[in-house]
Amino acid sequence: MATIERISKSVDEGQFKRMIWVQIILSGVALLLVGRLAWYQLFGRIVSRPQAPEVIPAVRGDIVDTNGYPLATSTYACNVFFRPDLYDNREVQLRLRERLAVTATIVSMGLTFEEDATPSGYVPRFAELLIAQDSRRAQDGGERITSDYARGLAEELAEQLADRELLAWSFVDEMSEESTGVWEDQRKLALSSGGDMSAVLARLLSEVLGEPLTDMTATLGASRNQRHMLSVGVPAAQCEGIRALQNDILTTELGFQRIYPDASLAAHVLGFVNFAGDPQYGLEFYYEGQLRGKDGAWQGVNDPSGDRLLAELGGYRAAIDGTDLILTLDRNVQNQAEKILREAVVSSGAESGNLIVLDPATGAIIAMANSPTYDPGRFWEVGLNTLRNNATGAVYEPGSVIKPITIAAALDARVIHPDTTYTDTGSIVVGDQEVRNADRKAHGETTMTELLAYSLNVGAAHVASSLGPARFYEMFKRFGFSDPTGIDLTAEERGIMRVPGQEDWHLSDLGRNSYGQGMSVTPLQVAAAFGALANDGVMRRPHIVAAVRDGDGTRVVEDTWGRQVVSADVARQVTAMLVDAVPMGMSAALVPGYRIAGKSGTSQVVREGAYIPDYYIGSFVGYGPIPDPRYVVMVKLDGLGEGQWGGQEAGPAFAEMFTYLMDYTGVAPNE
Amino acid sequence: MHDRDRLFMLYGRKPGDAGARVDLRMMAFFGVVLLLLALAGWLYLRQASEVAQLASEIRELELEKEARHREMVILRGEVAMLGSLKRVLIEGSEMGYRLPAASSGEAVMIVPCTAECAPPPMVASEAEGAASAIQEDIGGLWTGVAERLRRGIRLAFPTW
Repeated sequence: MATIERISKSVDEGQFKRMIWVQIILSGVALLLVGRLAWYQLFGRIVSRPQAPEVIPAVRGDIVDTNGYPLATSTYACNVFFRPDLYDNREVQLRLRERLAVTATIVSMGLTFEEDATPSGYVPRFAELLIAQDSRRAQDGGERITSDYARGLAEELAEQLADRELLAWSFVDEMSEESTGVWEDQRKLALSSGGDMSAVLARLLSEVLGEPLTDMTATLGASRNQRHMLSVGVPAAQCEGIRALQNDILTTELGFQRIYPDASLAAHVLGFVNFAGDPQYGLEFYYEGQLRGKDGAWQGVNDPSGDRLLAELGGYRAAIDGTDLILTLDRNVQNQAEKILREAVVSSGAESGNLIVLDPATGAIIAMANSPTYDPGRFWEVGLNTLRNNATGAVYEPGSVIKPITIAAALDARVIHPDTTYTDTGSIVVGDQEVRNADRKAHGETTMTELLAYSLNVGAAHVASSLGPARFYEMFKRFGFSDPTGIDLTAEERGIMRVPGQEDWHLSDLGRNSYGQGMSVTPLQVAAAFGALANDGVMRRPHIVAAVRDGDGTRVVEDTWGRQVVSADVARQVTAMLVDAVPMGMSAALVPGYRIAGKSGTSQVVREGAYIPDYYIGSFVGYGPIPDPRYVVMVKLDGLGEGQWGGQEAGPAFAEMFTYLMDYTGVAPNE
Repeated sequence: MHDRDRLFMLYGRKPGDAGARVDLRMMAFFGVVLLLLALAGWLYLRQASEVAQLASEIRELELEKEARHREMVILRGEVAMLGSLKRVLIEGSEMGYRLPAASSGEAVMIVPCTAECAPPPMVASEAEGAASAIQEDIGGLWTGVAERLRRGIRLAFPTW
């Protein structure tokens, strides 16, 4: 104790205080270190400002045909935009011209490298060049450089060559306007050989983007929008070329894009995806939820240099790509359908048309064509009317193709039987309206088959009157008229059919409706109704997606819906009548070697309460081969002139389509 | 001041003292404490840097995965374009194949080209003429530029 007291007294008070401070500071640092460590260990997080998640875009699902060929798929590409407002700026334009000019000069200098060459491979070449130069210097009396120095320099140059792109652009920069170096003459030469700026740029863009020169010239010359799209779906490599020009006049946007390999094939079925990535029309719109997929994200913190660093569990969430759709559509049949329809429209002088091929047993759509059509990859080039799928989204008066339905309804109600005849006097009054035959003739004693063969309106009205409104409309509803078919395509029309009980219904409607006037339907409704006749009276829901495919595999889309519209016997009786009727009155639709059932129709278009003169719609719907029908084919041509009939104009197109189907599927002739 | 507190003092040198007097036990104690702290700090730093390195590697791998995914999408798109019906029909017709007429009743879809349907070979002078016409039409210097940009500037240089 005494010793301690003695030592204490001898301690220098000032030094003692300093030592205390040192201890406090040391302890503080230690505590900080330990505290920080404990904090990391306990909470496991790096203190950072929360970072916005980086979106990983999901790739949209493909749409493939029944054999797996892609009709719509995605790629990683860019869109190239032109900024006319900047193009007008002389300085910006000059800069672009500079870069174009010097790039051209590099090309003209032949600054190219052999394939598979390595930087070291250039060393001897550079050395040779330098030694040659050195020899010339010696001859001129200058100071010589050693070969070791030359070799060293060459190696250095070879190192620089490793970054080839940097080297190329260093030439470009060297030759820029500000520089007056050794490249000045080359630059001037390039500028003088460039010619007119707009012409040069238009030609360049046309070459690079593969767009028509006239389009590029027109865009550069006339467009003064804020931003004008020059090209879409430009491959990433070409996109890089545009970006290398480093000019705001031409801008690029890189990302996943929708492409349609077969251009306009099945365009109306597919729909398209617009620039904002939103689906429009067709399957793209209808199946948006499945096709889109789910975007992923990168959520994490940045390292001190600002680069994204994942330091959180679950910081990376991979994108889930969209589901692929496997269609019932066959691209070969679709292509042929479009070709046949296009030719029929041209040869008949029609404005437009539709062609549908349907499997009556399942309701599967094998082909659905519209004319005119468009390229979904260039949807902006056509008007809104062309984008609509008229096979499902536009209604028309069906005309005489409805007569088999009237007969089927009457047969099912046992009002008539296959051998029933009636006396055709050339006119009949239903309600307060007189119904006449199209040929204005009286046909006398007429069978039901003759009624169908010669398309007699009086006979159809007679049968409908015998049936009565209640049963007639009930049967027409069962055939699906005035209701959407339920096909998996967007914007399907339901059609219009006034029925008893509605204010504007009149008994005269019964007469008109019996031969397809005073009501409106879609081409698909007619095809589906004939599908019921072809399928022993069972109507199937038309559908276009057969299966879906995702990471879990392929799943068949089952559509077991079916409705017995009429009895199988009635369906066969009507079919037999139609088979007999085709050679009698619609021989243009005959298919050699095969028995087919079918009916033509010719109707007019009502506008402002009156039929448009000299504007007709001709159609033919048929199925076969009988007795085991495999396909229903519906052809409709809009805008026929006076004297053109559905059987004559649409019949040959039907026959051609049906013949192709028989060839394609290898169905042997049975007649 | 309590005696125990004094134990934690490091005694300095008093002016005039002949030498320093140090409590070795205290020195050892502080030394061990500092050593432990340094060890903990070093372990922490090592762990943190390993975590950061692993995170960075994971990030690189994820970026790589996304890049490969993009590449697959591009390739799939290219395959789709190359296998399109449009191209098949064009290439087929160039090779001399044709589709039979639907009504002809031919059993095969595609018939091979005979000598008559093959395009006549281009004479050398014609080929040169066509090439020079294209060259003149586009303009020599700018053709080079367009070609360079079309291939992508990166592709124009060797890929070592």
